[in-house]
Amino acid sequence: MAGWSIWDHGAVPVSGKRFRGPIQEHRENPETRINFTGLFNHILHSCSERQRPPISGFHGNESFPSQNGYVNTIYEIESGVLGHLTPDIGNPFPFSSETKHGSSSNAGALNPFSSERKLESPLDNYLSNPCSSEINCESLMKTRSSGRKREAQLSSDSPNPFSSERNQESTLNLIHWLRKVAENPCDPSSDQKQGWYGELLAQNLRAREALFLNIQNASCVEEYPYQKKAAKSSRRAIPPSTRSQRDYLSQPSSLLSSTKPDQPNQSVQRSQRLMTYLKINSDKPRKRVPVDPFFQADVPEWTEPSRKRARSTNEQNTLDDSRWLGTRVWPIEGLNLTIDQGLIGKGRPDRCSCTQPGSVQCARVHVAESRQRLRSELGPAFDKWGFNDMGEEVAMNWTLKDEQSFTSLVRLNPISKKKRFWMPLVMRFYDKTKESLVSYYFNVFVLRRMSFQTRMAYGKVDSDDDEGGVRDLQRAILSESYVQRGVP
Amino acid sequence: MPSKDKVAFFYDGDVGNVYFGPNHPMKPHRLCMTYQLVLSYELQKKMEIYRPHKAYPQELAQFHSADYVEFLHRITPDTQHLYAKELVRYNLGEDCPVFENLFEFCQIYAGGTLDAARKLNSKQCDIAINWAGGLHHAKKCEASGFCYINDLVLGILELLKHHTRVLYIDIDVHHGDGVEEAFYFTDRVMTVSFHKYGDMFFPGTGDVKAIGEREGKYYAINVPLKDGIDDASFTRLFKTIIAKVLETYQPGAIVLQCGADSLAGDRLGCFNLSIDGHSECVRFVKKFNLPLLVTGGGGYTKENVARCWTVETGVLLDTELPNEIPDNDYIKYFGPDYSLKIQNGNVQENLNSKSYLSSIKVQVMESLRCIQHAPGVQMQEVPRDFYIPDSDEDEQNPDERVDQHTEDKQIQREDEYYDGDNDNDHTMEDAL
Repeated sequence: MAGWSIWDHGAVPVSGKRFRGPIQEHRENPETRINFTGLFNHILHSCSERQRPPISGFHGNESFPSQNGYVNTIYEIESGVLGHLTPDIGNPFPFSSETKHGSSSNAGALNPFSSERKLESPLDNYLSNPCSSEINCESLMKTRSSGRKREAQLSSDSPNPFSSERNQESTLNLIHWLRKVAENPCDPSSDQKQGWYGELLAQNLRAREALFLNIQNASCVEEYPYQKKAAKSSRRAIPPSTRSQRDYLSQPSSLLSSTKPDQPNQSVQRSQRLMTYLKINSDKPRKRVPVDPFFQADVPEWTEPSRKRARSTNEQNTLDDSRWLGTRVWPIEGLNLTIDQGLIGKGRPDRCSCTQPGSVQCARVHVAESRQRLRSELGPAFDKWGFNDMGEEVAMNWTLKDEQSFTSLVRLNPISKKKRFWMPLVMRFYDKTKESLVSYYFNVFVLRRMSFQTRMAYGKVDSDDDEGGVRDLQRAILSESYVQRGVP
Repeated sequence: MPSKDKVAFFYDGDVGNVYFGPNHPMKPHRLCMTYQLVLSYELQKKMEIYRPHKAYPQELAQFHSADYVEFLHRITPDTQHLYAKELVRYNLGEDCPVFENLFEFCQIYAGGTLDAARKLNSKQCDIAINWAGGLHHAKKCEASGFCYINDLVLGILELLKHHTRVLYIDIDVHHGDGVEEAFYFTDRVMTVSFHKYGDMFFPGTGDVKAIGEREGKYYAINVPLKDGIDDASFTRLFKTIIAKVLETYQPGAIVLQCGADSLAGDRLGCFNLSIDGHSECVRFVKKFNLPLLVTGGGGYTKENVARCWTVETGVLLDTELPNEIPDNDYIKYFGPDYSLKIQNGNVQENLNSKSYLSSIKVQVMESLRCIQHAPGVQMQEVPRDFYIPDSDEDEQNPDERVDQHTEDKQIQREDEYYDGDNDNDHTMEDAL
């Protein structure tokens, strides 16, 4: 890396045309809020998204500056980082309105070799004579940061790229890379050094975090899914195998709190434990679309399927291919069915002739009738499709005592008390397969619970709510079992 | 006009007793419930039902890496503790737990989509349905988002053997990242996904600016949406975009992933679609009369999933179903109303403003304009109404004079008048 300087890049801001970057604007009007964080985020976001920032303006969204704006903004970042501006610690934004350069037309930016600029900082010394001196990063840090708070943050966050002289070269690499990528995020040359790319990206993210981001800011910035959050990093320390056994209800709700306050309905709809599923895995910051044979499918070039071959070996092909087309189960060969078009798609009739319409007994009778009709219509397909293992009929393979045990175990291990009923069930019913336990659960237990809860007018009934701690519920579930067996 | 579409339905009863584990939102039992409902409405009388073959590992390896498939084949809940490193490598264990009969489950749902694609290729049906499939998050070398094997990619690869271009449409609430990634660099597959984006919503990809790269640039379309989108906005946007896509891209076949977690009231979703709105999308795609492969996908409120996919089976069979659910073994699941309507809980506020949707639409249209019509064909200016609806020539009166414009619109198929290469004194070389 010897012999080049960060200014060698050749991308000098267009002279004569002054871009009023966010820092410049803030300098002129300290009341305005700089979306500096947003800009920096966007640059890094674009890097990871492998997208080119728009050339001129954006489609109506003011928060994305032009490409020239990016370049200039990068200069400002560099300047600020390397001590051209004095940071204002009290201000959440690290760069104040103070300027050393008077009202020169090039103030605030950006060409350090401009003759109007008075070179003062250690960096300026280095730039004026790269071979003779080295940048004294420590003194840079001192000019940057006079507040303890900022120093503490910078020194404690790991690894601070500006913390020692040893890292000065990596600092320059960092900034050089950042500018290069901002100007041309889709540059394929940066893809080839994947390891190096990944390391520099990680460094930039840490730098950003150290310099700009705090949790409050992070939670306000929209639509940057690759941001790290302090809360997440603490959870990541837990290895996956043990995490799966943790109680999900005790998860910190930092993710819930990051949703906007004007969406009160969110938490009502999604139960807290389900929020732990489908999280964005930010401990491996993934490129937007990886470029690698490990990720894309092998799509062959299009060739017209040869018709000649098809014609001559048509029959043989049919025989070969038929096993790949599934086994036809319906309509059954040889079974002559008269299709009553009127019956297809018919709904449940409004009335029935039962003495107590809508009662448990009424429902049972009608379900049994439908089941019988289906069995006679489908013939052998009824068993092939597993209909004999559906519905409360499954309970007929269980003894009453087993049913009582099942219901008790579920009741005694409620989720709300941080218990799980599955393992006790498996241990109690060691002579039954797991499939039969699952089958009983969905075909009998949940059905009867639904039946009870809908009759109790519980309002919105949730079949997936795995709570089973209601004593009345247990009694009701078992009473249906008695009825099914004809036990008085 | 009654549809002459032949529908093939793929189902294997073994898929229902698969259990992801306690409290896991993915419950394959929803497939049994769907099936019960379909049969209770007697829809089996209008279609053919097939039991798919269980996909072989070699078939799965047409897309996935061989070591990943092998690992899925061998790992069991009892031995997983010995393979902690591999579990992390393949992203198994949390969202994608290792459970009993995991591999068989994958074989069934992937086999269903593969068989469906082959059936379409062999023209034995016009529409093929596999509600067990549609697991669109799975990647080449790892599991993701409750998906282990990406049956959609496998099905599309199968369709690509007989069609130049295949269109993939995804209306799951989550971005179809696995499929998009697999075909990001090719123009033979165009992927269109409508999904929630932002707020750290899984999987975090699917920004409107992701449009594909290299040869596949402009052949990936993403429609990022915010919470609470309703039927009217969604269907309007869907129809506009899909119509333009079909006009521009002219695929030979369509794969439609109908994830039901975009419905209102879903445990993990956040949209406000009703079953009518969701099924309207299916109805719209069916109208284009292209070979159509329909799969399931997400959907974590079992009853609504069963309702939705039953209604959509009816739509594909041109049968409108009455709201009152007929008696069946699972009727109790559909209480207290026992109807096909979603039981409405809390109504989400629609955060998708008109201007936001409009800006998304504009960007998508811009992107579509960059595609040359029907890639692989010589680029030329084509009239706006190039995509013509089907017109039945037999119904036209040959004695009636039609104007030149109408006549020009009618384009004969290449093999319209010949059964094969050898007919009507044409030698094979001439015909080609």
